[in-house]
Amino acid sequence: MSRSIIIGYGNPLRGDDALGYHAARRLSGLVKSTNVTIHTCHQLTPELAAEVSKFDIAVFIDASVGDMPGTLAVTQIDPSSIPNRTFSHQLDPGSILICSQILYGQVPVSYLVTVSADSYGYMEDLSVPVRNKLPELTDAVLRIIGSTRVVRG
Amino acid sequence: MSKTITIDPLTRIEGHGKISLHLNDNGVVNNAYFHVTQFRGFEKLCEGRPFREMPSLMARICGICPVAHLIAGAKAADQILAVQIPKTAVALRRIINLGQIIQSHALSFFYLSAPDLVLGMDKDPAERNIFSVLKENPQMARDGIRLRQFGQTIIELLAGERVHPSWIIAGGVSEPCTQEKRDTILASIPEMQKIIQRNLDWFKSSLIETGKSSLRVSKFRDEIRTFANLQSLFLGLVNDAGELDFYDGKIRVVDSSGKIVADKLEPSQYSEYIEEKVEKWSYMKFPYYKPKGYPDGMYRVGPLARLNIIDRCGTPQADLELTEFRGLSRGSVLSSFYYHYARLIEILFAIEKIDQLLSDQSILDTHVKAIAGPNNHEGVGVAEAPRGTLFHHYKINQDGIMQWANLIIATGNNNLAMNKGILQVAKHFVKGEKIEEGMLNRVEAVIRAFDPCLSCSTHAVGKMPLHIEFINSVGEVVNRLQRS
Repeated sequence: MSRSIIIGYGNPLRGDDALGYHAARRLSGLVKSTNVTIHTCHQLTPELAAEVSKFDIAVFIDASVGDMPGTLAVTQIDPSSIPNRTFSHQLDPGSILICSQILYGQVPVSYLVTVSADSYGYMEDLSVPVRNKLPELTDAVLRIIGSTRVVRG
Repeated sequence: MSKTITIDPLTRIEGHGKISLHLNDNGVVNNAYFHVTQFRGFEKLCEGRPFREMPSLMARICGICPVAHLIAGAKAADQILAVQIPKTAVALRRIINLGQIIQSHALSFFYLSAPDLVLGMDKDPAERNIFSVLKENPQMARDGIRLRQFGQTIIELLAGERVHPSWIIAGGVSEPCTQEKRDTILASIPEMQKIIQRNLDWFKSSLIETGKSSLRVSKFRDEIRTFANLQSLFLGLVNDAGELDFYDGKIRVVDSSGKIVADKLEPSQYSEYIEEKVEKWSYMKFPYYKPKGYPDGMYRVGPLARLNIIDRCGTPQADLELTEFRGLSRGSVLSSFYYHYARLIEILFAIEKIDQLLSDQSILDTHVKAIAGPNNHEGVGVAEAPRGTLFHHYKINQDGIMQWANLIIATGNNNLAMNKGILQVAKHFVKGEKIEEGMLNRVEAVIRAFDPCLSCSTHAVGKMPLHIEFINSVGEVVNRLQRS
């Protein structure tokens, strides 16, 4: 059985930025398998590389900008295609995977699941279009961890 | 024509700021300013809130060192309650504060400054980042991650959350420590000691020029000589035994020669010996030691200052390192480049101290909070945050509602010295109006050595990039360099 980590990140006080946080909490109530670890945090930091390297599958959940609010997107992350970058305080999922590869020699099969945000204002709730997308998002994450086949080298 | 250079945004530090360098007609740096351009105003927004909310409200000032604000806020609230805090609660507060020291110092050294230290100040900026450090020295990168994890785990185990925990309350802490949590932390101590010793050895060896043997002969010679290598006072908390103490003690002030200028000053009487000056070009205030006046009363706080003011650390391995550190100078160690070195010694101390505190069986005592209503209308809480001495001062009305607050933040204490440091490094490295990357990076690196937290010090939101501007003698900006 593959081991999976779900990382939902964002600021719970900044509206739709907390999509990952709310989605991870929702998934905590749905996932019973001990092979799945669910983690929430405000932002991604390098120490997550050590954690991620222990898993076969990683799913990052975040809010995105640009599309119509409530648009769901699932993208597989290929760390080899990520250009060099700088770091000040926070990282993106690709950077975490690069750290994992360089420092621990392990990279899980990874996906980024996003929903386009409507508002990043000061509030503890998600906007309606983003909140309405949560069931579809959690289904998508469950499909990923249930169907991804990991071939170990 | 005279000019000004502006560096904006400043990178690899916490918060928003910029630097302006003023050059005379001959292209020589005349003056330098570190502008903090963000503002938050926490003192004002807490007015009208119940004083018991203050620790967790103040923790929101910062995502890096919320525990320091929790500690200072809770200590101020303890004074308002006027009760004896249970000994176990004090020990637990000490442990979580030390956990934060470890994670914050590791962030500063391994994540933010390592690119300068490992790759060199003149490395191409496209490659001078944490990812190049991973490739150049993966062991060191893994060590930084483990130390951060260890510090964060202590905070999470004791307080339930890594960021903005609310476990420290007026009167103590909300929950005792369990045996399982204690054993989990203790199990990692030997590994952490090995890690920090390995990195102390690496740092010391990196200071030594090839073929030499003394720490005083360094390949960072120019940086050591010019990174805020200044005559100044040093200020911080020292406990009754003259040892390093991040939680409690009395204020000691030491001068550049190492002489104690003032000792056993009551922290709650800070306004008798510290005053804050406001300059129109920065949101960060300029505290100074009152008896010496402004700006002669410039003092430094934080790791370098703490190691300069104490008699000893109080733990075996850290004391051995302190002896070697003290060998750098006959008096106080003056170069702010050595903040990095001091930070590593403090991590070692914190690991040893956590071991001592957790190994005492009384740490599992379940009496961890004192219950009382407000018995005073005023309270002052002082603690050592990663970046230096932190003061919280609250006044309440008869209903326990906050009427007034004053915060002197660790980073703010270093404001005068940071400005002097920029001037010193710019005078040495900046020649003419042509901006070269190595110069720009050294101007930033002197600020990084202090590890300022501008979100804390101005109580402002955000990230911190840096921006350099050239301004001529009539105040016109003639050149500008900005990083995004």
